[in-house]
Amino acid sequence: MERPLGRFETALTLTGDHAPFVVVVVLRLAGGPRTEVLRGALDALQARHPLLRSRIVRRGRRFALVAGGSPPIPLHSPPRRDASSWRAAAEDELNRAVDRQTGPLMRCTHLAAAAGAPGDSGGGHELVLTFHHAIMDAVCGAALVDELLALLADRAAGVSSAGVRSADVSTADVSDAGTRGAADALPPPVEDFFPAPYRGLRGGLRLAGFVARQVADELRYRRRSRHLRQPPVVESARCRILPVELSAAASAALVQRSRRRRVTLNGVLNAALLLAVQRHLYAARRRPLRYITFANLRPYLRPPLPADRLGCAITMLRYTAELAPDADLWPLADAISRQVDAGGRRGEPFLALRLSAPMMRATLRRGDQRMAASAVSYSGVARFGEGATGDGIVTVRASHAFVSNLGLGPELTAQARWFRGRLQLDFVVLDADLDEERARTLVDDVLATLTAAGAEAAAAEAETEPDVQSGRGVER
Amino acid sequence: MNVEIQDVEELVAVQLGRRRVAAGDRLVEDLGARSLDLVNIVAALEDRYAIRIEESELPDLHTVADLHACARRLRDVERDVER
Repeated sequence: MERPLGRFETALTLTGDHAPFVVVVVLRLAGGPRTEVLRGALDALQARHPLLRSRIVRRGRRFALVAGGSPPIPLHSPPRRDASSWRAAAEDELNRAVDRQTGPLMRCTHLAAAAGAPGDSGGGHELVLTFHHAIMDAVCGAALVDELLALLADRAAGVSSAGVRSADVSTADVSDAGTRGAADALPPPVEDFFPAPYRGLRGGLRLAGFVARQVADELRYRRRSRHLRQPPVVESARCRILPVELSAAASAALVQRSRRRRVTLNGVLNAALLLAVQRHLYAARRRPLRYITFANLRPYLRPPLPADRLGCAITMLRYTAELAPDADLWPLADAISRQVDAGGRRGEPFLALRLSAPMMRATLRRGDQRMAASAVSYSGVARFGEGATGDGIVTVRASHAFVSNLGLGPELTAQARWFRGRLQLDFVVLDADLDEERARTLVDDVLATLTAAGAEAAAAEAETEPDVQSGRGVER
Repeated sequence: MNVEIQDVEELVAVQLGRRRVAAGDRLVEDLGARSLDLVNIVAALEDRYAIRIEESELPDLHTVADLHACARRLRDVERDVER
């Protein structure tokens, strides 16, 4: 069985064909599974999800998702030299494409501490899970991690949970597939679940309005940024990671402050990244800068798409913000929050998805302009690992998620989430854009901005909660 | 101040610009709330009942009734502290 790729799936596949473009999830575990237990759990996971047995092939000018025929999920177990070996492994994965033609669209690296290994007191293990972006987003990624942890716990306890039940395919999908078996039925692309106003002729009219707004924004951006620095297109580069987090106190203070200001955390994070980029790469000059933000479409689809259904149900939105030389965080965060919200009310997440494949084709073909200055994806509260500790063998100590960047992408990107009371930011930069010291400077700037923003609120409450003021961000 | 379901329904309706909402309505799937709406709703609840809702509680707040239950629980905690 096969089906044509959806629009955003196509855009992600085009990107992945241009340069390595993958989602990398890192689970830092206390204790950890034996390799044969992990192998069994991966096999069971693959048996449950048709997308983990599928591959992506060309069909003329288009792509198709083909069910079945993929080998088992590759499991690689390199030596774990010390507690930071996962960083090198994650960077290697970010810079290595998934072989989409052969499949599967996932692979796994297992780093296991040898007994008495230096720098590790807890028998640490890390799992580095790499996915083709077309089958993965933050929501289903968290659900898949939970499922894998549950499978590991079951298998460690001697319970066989392998099966062909697929969380990715509903009864309706199977009936749509006619006589084809549920085991090979592929979930439809997200645009098949768009609300009525964004489909057909009505959707086409809205799309025309969206295109007009995009063209106007493009012309305005070019006019206003003429004679100002244009970020250079990078031909060849390696992704480098910089994972950081705010302290619990600073995280809580930032949330409170953003609520009092009635701005979203996504808006605050986008503003902090833009300000860092403006200060350090654009000489703090007045100018328009573009930022990329992401929308989770799952709850807005008809019917809403459950978290445990594998697939990429996000869309990418690009907006332009005007930055003053002495721009302040909160007005910018407020402007971004309202800009994104207004776009959402106009249905732009759906419209941007409809436009994503031709836009990506054009961007890659021209190859003369970076897509934006910065990009951040805030995926909300991550809870994976809380419900699947089983007999204690697989406990998540920490987690990370990264997405590859490419030479036409933003100069500073981050995946952000709330995990166990802390705001985490997993940055990815390109070595051709920023050397290590400069990248560190930008990331420190973001952390300082966010910490100072929260501290305003903390100071106001200091008399009743004296512990709230502590804590800068720390590298993780 | 007691946390009544009718008051929470009214607060959500005002924030979302709707005439009325029901306790069982899902904030995002049924009422179409967006991220900024959710920030406004949570902040308005915090202000009205003098409570603080942790970010980690947000994924459990699917419906208007969930908001009511959360606000009532936190209000009870605050009341105990005040005593």
